Amino acid sequence: MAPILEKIMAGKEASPFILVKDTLEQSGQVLGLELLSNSPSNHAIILVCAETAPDRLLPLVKGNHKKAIVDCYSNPLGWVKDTTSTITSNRDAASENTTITISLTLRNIRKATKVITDLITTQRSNFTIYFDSLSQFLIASVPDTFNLLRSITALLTDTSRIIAIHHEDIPDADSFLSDSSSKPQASNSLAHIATTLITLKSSEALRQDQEDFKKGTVTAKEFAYLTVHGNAWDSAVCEIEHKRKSGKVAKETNAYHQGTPTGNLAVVNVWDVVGDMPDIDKMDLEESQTADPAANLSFNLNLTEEQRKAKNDTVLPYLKTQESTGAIYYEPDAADDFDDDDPDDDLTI
Amino acid sequence: MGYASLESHLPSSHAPLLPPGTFLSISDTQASDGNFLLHHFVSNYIKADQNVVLVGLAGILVHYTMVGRKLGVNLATARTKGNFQFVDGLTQLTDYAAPNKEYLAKLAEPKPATTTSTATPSPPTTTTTGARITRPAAAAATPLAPPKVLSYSPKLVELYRALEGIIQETASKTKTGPSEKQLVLILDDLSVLLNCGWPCRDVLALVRYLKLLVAKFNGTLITLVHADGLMAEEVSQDGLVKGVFYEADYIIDVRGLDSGGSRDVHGQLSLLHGPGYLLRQRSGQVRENEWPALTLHYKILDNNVEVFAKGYSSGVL
Repeated sequence: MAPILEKIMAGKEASPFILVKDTLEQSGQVLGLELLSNSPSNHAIILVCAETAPDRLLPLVKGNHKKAIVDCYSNPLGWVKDTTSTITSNRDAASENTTITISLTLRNIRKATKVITDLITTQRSNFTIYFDSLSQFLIASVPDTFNLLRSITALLTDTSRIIAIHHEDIPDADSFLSDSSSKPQASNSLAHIATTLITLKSSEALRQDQEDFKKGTVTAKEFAYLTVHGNAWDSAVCEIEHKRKSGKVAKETNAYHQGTPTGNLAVVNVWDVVGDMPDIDKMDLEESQTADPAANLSFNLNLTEEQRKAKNDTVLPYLKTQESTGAIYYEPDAADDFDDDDPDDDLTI
Repeated sequence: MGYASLESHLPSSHAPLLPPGTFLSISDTQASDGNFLLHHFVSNYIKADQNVVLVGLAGILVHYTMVGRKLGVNLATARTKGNFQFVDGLTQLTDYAAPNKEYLAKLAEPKPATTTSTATPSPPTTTTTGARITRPAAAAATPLAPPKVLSYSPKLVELYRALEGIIQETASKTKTGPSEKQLVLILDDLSVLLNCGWPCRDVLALVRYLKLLVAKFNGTLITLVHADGLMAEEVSQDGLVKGVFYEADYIIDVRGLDSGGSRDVHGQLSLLHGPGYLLRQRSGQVRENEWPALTLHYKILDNNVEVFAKGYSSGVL
């Protein structure tokens, strides 16, 4: 069974809204960009850059897709008066695609929503829109960001999708208010809208947990915003929750591994990256893969082909009664004295 | 050249300077002041005859001059040469420190020629209400113009514009020869802006705009922010530290030892990989082991700071 992350990357599992939740300790940008690069070749890519400079992000998107950039990075609060026009076109020499760049400020998320939805409406279908950080939007206004996302999901079709990175640890606009505890957490609300939720954890953090579990201890952790094990380039662990159209939710923990910092991403089993599978999980796995119970017996419980056919052909005597509505079928035998009269007729109650 | 033992742990591509177009974020705590790192960079850039713009939001020029002297740089000379610009972001940043206009009018009157020693603090510059920075009227008399002062403005954008002006001026003045000089903009420190009342979002935006600005002038941005564990519960402080870490290319975290104070080891210094560093590695801009993430210990001496691997303190060996 291929890891679900691999299926999602290859596009075998459709998902209109992929949300990558990350933290300072383990960034989800690399995974997000890999997912983006694996978009179908006929997709146009809309890069909404709020945290990384467009010129740094663009070279990391592999593939010959047509690209449009919404630059919310260079002028987030409108402090710089843009002398150049807000929409510029660049001919991308490599792929012969014209890349449009739209500059946007994040001062007014509603205006930004209008610009982005207009862009999508012109594209109509066959696109992937990528948010390199929803946190920059959420710090401006939580409800407006949700409206932005809902406006986009309303325009999605079977051939278009959203991929967004969300930093769990950055406070959103609501957190700064005094009554923030009564409001729903933006993180949780985002998880509801998303069809695939991928939470990143650093491999080292999981290794530590494993060690602790084996020893039965809990290592004291000094306070730190970021540790020296953060953002290791070679691997990361992903907890995936994928909601299928049928309603079923698949929950798996996978990992990815890279051979070199600039190399390809390979999806692997989490235990290949973190170390040995814990014994309790090993037992569960063995149980689910139990061999046929009729295997090691001294007598034969299997059916031959003839026997199987005979079994399937038997008519069960009372099958009709099983399918009935409740009406009583009475079929008298030869020995029965069948009398239609009601025996209680002579009662005068 | 700064602190010799720290050199080998800094990005080596443009050593002893930092790679231009990058942002180094230094975080510290109450128990362990990260200021010593700023002095290292000031010293290195000046000795290499490059430009330094130091915005003192938490310290005055005298302090930097004195420490600079211990490290072998003369900030006064550097100021005359135009290599070093100090921006006073301490004395008039908030509205309750607004200058007394009558007093300033008196100062502006012609005085008998006095040699103003550059080490002593200079009289406040004449500033108008709002946030413009002007030189004092008596500039011609003094041999060295006093440092530019950032005056109060309710909007942080004014501060940005003021700094923009200063950086453009510094870069244009020292543009001699074919190669452009490298610039470093040091903000000491960001938490002051938060404490003075500007919202976290605005301070983060300031960092973003400054980062983009210095990149245009072949420069690097260095900021200092306070990141104590106890302050992590306060949303703005926490948001500022995290926001700055997400923006940074290089992160150095200075913290006290978890086990408490020590005579031989004053604290620990961690070189950390943030999301920005990971992305640069992915794009091949930094090689695999160019700047490994590790924790070192340091000890502050009178004229120097010793940085060493954990367990290798001279008190132990």
